[in-house]
Amino acid sequence: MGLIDCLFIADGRNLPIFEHIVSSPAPTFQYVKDRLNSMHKDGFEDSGSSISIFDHLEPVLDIDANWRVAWTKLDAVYVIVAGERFPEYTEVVSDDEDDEEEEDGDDAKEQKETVTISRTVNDLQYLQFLADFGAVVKAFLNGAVLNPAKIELNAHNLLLILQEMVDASFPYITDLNQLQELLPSNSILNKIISTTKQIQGTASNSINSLAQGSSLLHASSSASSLASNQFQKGILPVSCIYEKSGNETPWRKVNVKHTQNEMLVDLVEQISWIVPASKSPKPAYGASTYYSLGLSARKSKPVLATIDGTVYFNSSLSGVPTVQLVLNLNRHDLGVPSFHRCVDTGTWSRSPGVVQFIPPDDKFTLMKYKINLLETETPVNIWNYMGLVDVELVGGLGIERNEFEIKLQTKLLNTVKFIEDLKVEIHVPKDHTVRGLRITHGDLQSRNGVQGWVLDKMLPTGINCTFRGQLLRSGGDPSTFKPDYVTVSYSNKGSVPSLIKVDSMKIISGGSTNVKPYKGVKYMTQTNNIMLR
Amino acid sequence: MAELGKNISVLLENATKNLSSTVNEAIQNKNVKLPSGLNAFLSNGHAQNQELTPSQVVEGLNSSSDKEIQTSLKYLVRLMTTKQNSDPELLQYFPHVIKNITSNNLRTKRLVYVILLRYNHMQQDIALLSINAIQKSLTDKNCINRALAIRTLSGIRIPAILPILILSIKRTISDSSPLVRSATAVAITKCFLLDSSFNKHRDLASALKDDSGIPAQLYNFLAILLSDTDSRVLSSALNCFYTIFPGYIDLIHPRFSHLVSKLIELEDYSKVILIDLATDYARLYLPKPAEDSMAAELTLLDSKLRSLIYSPSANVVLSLVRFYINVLPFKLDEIPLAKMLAKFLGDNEVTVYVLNEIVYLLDRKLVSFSDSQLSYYVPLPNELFKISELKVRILVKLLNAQNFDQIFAELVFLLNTASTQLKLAVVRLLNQYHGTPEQKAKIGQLYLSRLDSETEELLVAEYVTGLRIMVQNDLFGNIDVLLKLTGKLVNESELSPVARASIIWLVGEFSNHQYHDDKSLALGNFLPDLMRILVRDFREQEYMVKVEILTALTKMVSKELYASKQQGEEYNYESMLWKLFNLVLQFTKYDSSVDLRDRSRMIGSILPNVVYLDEDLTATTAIEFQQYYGQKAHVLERCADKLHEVELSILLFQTSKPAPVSTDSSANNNNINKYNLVTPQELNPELLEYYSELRAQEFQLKDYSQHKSMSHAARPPPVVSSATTINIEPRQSARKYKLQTLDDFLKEKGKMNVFGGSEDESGQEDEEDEEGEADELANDDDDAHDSESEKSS
Repeated sequence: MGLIDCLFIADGRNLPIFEHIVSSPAPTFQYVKDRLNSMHKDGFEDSGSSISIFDHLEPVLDIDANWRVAWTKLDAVYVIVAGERFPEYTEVVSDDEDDEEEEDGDDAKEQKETVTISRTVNDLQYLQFLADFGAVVKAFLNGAVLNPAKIELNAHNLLLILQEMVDASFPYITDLNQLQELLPSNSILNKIISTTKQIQGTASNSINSLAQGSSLLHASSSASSLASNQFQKGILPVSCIYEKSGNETPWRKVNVKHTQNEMLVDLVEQISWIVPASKSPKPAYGASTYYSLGLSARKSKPVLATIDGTVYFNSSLSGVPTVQLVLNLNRHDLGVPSFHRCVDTGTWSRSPGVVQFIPPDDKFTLMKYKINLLETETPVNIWNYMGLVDVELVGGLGIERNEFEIKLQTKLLNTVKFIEDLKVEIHVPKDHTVRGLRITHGDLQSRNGVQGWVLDKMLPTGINCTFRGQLLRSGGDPSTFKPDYVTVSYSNKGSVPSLIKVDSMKIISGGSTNVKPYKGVKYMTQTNNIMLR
Repeated sequence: MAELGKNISVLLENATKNLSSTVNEAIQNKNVKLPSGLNAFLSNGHAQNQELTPSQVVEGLNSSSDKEIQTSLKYLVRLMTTKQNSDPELLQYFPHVIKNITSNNLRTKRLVYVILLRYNHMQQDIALLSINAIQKSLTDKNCINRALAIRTLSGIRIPAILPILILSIKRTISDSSPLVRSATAVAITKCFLLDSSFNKHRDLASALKDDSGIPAQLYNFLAILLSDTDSRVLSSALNCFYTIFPGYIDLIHPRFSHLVSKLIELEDYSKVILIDLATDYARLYLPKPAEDSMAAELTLLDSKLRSLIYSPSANVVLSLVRFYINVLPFKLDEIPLAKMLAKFLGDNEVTVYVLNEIVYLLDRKLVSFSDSQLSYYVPLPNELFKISELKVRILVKLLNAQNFDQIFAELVFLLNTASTQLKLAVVRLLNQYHGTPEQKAKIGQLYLSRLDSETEELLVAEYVTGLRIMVQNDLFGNIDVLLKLTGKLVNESELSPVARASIIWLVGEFSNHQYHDDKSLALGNFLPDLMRILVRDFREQEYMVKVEILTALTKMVSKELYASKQQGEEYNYESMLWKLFNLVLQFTKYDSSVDLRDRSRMIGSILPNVVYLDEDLTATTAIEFQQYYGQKAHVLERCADKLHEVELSILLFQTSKPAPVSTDSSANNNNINKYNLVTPQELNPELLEYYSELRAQEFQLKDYSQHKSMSHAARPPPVVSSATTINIEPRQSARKYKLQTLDDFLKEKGKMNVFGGSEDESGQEDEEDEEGEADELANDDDDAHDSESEKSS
């Protein structure tokens, strides 16, 4: 009885490739599949294209009176958990109330009625577990793409992970850092990593001692190499997060020692914006805008303009350091960001922009935020924050007024040299195709039925590109329609659209103070959904 | 891979630091990519995937090399998890597997445990052989081993081990490592379920009265774990409480503040359990909060929850919202609800639930969005249909006078470019919207313009349904719409059958009304002509159009007949409608569709007509009415007879159709709505004082980090007295009850010695004996110190 009584992994053709029973009784995969199949038929007739039974189902659903099933897609496989449902309400049982009645007499007795408390399970508990499980498995398999062959190859690893992640039908230890400590991985890759770490440690030591004439770090490096050696022999580390009570940072390994002393921040932002068609392009009859390369200054107000930001933190720091990261928010309202549990949220709410935390070892997601540019109160030009590529779509051009033009402009910024993988997908009405008339850069390509204007892999900043084309009906005649909408995707390094910057990053307490850590910040822009109508 | 690259590059970096900066430049890109061949070798380099023969497996299992044992075990585990019906094959190796349970290698041990847990009940004798080894692991130096051992022991499904299991739990419950105590909570759950599976029909409440019984012992164990200060232990203890003792709120009363104070440090899953529990608890046992007066416990909870708005887990946030809407609705304004929920919107499954939650809140007017926040709900291309549909639902709910144009433009865009499935959803949801007449007119305009070009039948049907609802709700207000629709009927031959049929039905309905204004009078006068045009190519029409023409004509004719009857005049058997009606009856009488023939016959038997009353009439007879009446006057007489029954027809065809009410059935029954329901009962104010007393009880806080037990109470630190009792019943009436406990306890103690169990009897005592308590405390401390010193040595 509980949240998770069994876990299955199925491939894209609904065949089981892995099963783990947490506590019995548990339904068989065949039963779960049959039930899902029957629900599928009830629910949606038009399954047509997809082979998997899951594609049109709710992520969490009750398959019968007893069992609740949750599923998620993880790369090429489906992970399914099933658990016995709890009744929605449970009666409260209390011995003391009987005593009360005896003393207070009839009064209370008359008052007495069955009291119930609710026990409805939050469906997101399942999804959270599935997400955690996916993240842990990927981390243990070094970020490999999961497919049936991978699952079978690593069946024993999955089982060992599950042994810790779920017990008594409930998620048990799901924190990646803790799992890594409980389940030292001994794959050959880790051996190479730790060996290179050792070599590197020794080498850097000798270099350091040559250069600085000090052998301060020597002891620590041999200690860490000793520990990593023990991992591989299946011998347990001497100290463990859970050796003693009162560990206030259970996400950080005990006695972390590093010879590389560094902390790195990756700031990644994804932009989304949707701009309705420019109100009135009205070019002079017949005149082309082809030679006037600048984009029109007047732009319609975007329907949507959001930035999804993620801050990754990757550190190799010894001891238990408290790190303070100060972000220059550039007057943006970050809403209610999500923080890793190690972050002191009090500091943030007192002074937004300051993130204070004791980091877990290695890479982790420090925070996530969402900026809605339309919500900014200050009257700033939001186009400054919408990325380095400006796009315009104009229809109704040419003598026949049946041509359209897409204009791209990559803005200049001294930290960014190239725009990568810039691509414009042109979505057209049914039974229409695009014909390119004049293209200044790149070419027109067709993939999966969608035609797109693909530019150079590395496009320099500060240039203008134009695509002039027209739509053709299926017969080949030009049509007066213009594309329904175009979507733009690209990425670039060196800047983020919100122009948020890391102002400073320092260790304010703990850690080894005698060596200054190496600090690094990387900015990256990606696109989520850029659309012009 | 990245890490390997990093190591190498750092190595190089360091090596060249003082020599050359150009090399540094070259390797700055730390994502060194390895050739794919090397990659494959690194990740599956071992021969892990090989098939083993039975003799190889056995040989491996009996080998002395860890590596060989593990190769066999991995093979077996792979068999167990990835192959169907592998049980018989695995069982034959079971004894060989169990032999390795004493291995010092943790990995080997884990694999053996996994296999043991899966098959123990199938080969009980062999499984029991392993118990001793597991018990030994309970005293292992390493906490990971101890924790694993107690979890494994409790997972063995052989009832004979229950006494040993209870003893073991008694030992691990006061372990110095929080991991082991946390594992003990898991073991309690499993022990309870094992015990219950052999006592299926017992009543738990009465079983608990027997203090020596397993449930009562576990109850007391759980009480100890719920008093722990370590968040890891509390997390597991709460899960245990939730699974096996959910209604036993006595466990919570004294510890409520303690648990709440630890809320932030708990695991996310347990946070949800505690917040959900606290929601019900606050309604049942705390005074109803008002803006100026809140119970201290609620103030604490409120302050703790405030920092959870930053949680990256949507499950915690939904649980938090549930608490505020049910317990502190007046504080909802202080929570940035809109932004807190919006941050979870993306393209994953969680989004579906968050959107459902927003729909729930909007329905109850608990959340509002500014116009600039509407952009969160703009459906995106390539999004899951479920998400887009929910977004449209929210947009339609948010429609108001200010944002109508903005949202409407968005919906129009969707109707231009989205998938048919989403278009359908948009129209259906829009049809449920009750707006001002101007807004309705805009929507009507949109639908009318779509009718011509749309080829998708379902979609046309939805458009017409929308128009029908409009016309039906306010016929004379929307007479223009109807006029345009009839215009389409006449002028456009490409109109799809569904649309055509629906419009004809609407015209028929219209004819039932009394006309007031010029426009409707004009339309009314036009109707016979309209019908004539429609009947003109009756034979080419689809079945559904034919049915509607017949029905509409019937309505019109019966109206005419009824009117003439009421005025006492003779019906004009030469009227255009009468002729058309008879013609259509004649057509339909010989139609190829059985259903249509059936309808035709029914109408023919109710209303006067010549087609069914004159047996001589055949399919090919062309009726020239004037001439016909001259020849067959008797038919007219029979028609006149029939006219007496015209009321029946009026009853059948002129009943006013209720205006469609938009029903949104799907929204009321989803899991989010169910989840947001809490206990229906409320605090009984008379018992409040008593509950406060329960909460003020003391319990022994288990703080292992300082190696001492201390009492926890709201009052000034009391003398030992009841503070050290774990039993939470302070009442005098319980005294007698407790004496029994002591007896039972002593008996129990004797039993323990038979099993060679521990002397450590911490935490199970209920007796009032102060000395005994003190001893026990000392014991506790020693124990903690012991394991401590062991570790350090």
